[in-house]
Amino acid sequence: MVSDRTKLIEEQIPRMRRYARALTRDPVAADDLVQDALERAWSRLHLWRSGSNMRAWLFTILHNIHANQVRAASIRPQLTALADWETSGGQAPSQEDRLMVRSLAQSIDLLPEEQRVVLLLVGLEELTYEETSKVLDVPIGTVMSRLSRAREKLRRLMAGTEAPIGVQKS
Amino acid sequence: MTSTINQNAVSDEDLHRLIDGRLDPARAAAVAEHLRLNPDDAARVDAWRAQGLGLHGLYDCVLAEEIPPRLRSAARPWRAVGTALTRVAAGIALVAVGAVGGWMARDAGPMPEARIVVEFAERAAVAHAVYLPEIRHPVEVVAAEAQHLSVWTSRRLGLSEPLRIPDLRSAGFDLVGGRLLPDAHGPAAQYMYQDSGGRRVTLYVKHDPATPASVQSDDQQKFDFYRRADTAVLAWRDGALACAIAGNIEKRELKRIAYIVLGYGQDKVKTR
Repeated sequence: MVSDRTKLIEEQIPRMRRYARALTRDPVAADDLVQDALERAWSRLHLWRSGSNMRAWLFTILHNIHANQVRAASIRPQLTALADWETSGGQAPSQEDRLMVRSLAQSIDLLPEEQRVVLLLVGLEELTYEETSKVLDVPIGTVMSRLSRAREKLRRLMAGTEAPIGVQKS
Repeated sequence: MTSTINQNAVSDEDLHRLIDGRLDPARAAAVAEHLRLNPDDAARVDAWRAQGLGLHGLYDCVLAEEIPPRLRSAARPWRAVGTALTRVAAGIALVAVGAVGGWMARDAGPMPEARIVVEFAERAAVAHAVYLPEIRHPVEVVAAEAQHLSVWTSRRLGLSEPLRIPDLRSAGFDLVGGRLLPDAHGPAAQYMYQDSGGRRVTLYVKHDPATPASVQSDDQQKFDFYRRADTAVLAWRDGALACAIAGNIEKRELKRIAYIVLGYGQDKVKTR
């Protein structure tokens, strides 16, 4: 019984790592995140209902840990952002003004967090909309609208027809 | 740009469902027709599909990577814990299993063995005295989260398996919880117990992998006794673990608890 569940958890590690890698774009931070999630999962295994969706459960845990980290990080002063601000003479970072064709990886980084997460869960991890809704604890309608906005924004970013901060092409 | 008025008008949601393989088959034909007639939408769908392929191209390599050992051990921690805390004698294997030989076999170590023991016991005594009077924050993790406490402290101590936090109820002490503390050269874990009279004992555990685990027979279990003000401490080595039990109680009672920690049954204790 215990080993069955352990096996179920183990099976999800590669996908958890892939998702975490895409989310953090940092191999070490990604594995830290997965490790935290696995430890928490194990300590709460008694809360997992046998026969329910292990993948969705694990991704929920992973998502919650990451969301907390993002929240904590956003409280800290953004030193690099400030430096950029100063060198661009008090204007918004000049690089951001330019309309350019961006790579997929660059463009994903420019998506708002809530859209990025949905894009990765659906587009990369191929979770169903229902699973995604469960993982993020938002209604399916919200999942669909975030997905739609993420894909459209990504498309325009990559095509160079949209600047990340919404500056129009002149 | 045809405006085929259709009560089943194709929506953006249909287009996403198409890409994600979640489209109701009954709508497939309508969506295909829509895309044929609306090249802009078809281009969007192509771009979205390319995003998905691009994502897989960027990150699927992770799936083929070997899973780091630390994640493997995080996923299959401690099968034994699920069985029973009551199976102390056998289950405490990690804590117990002999290995008393040479308190700290650091032959080349600059510090004499006895000195190391005393300093370790001293830290256990201080840690005990510091948290003994705490009403609101005696522990960081409460007993209700014992599993988490075990996982957390074991990992931080650098153990490859979880520590089975000893059950001292047979001596009348319930687990209050535990915390992580700085010890010399690394962390130590402190587990606090309390009896119905409010007396507290603390078990102080440190991982010392430098010491080879040598096995010695049970009967030769060696304790080091130390006293600091009102606090009595019994310290012993247990494989790669250095352990100390501290309390403001009699040495005899402390020793009885130490034997429980080591996994001996009551009857065995009595024969001593």
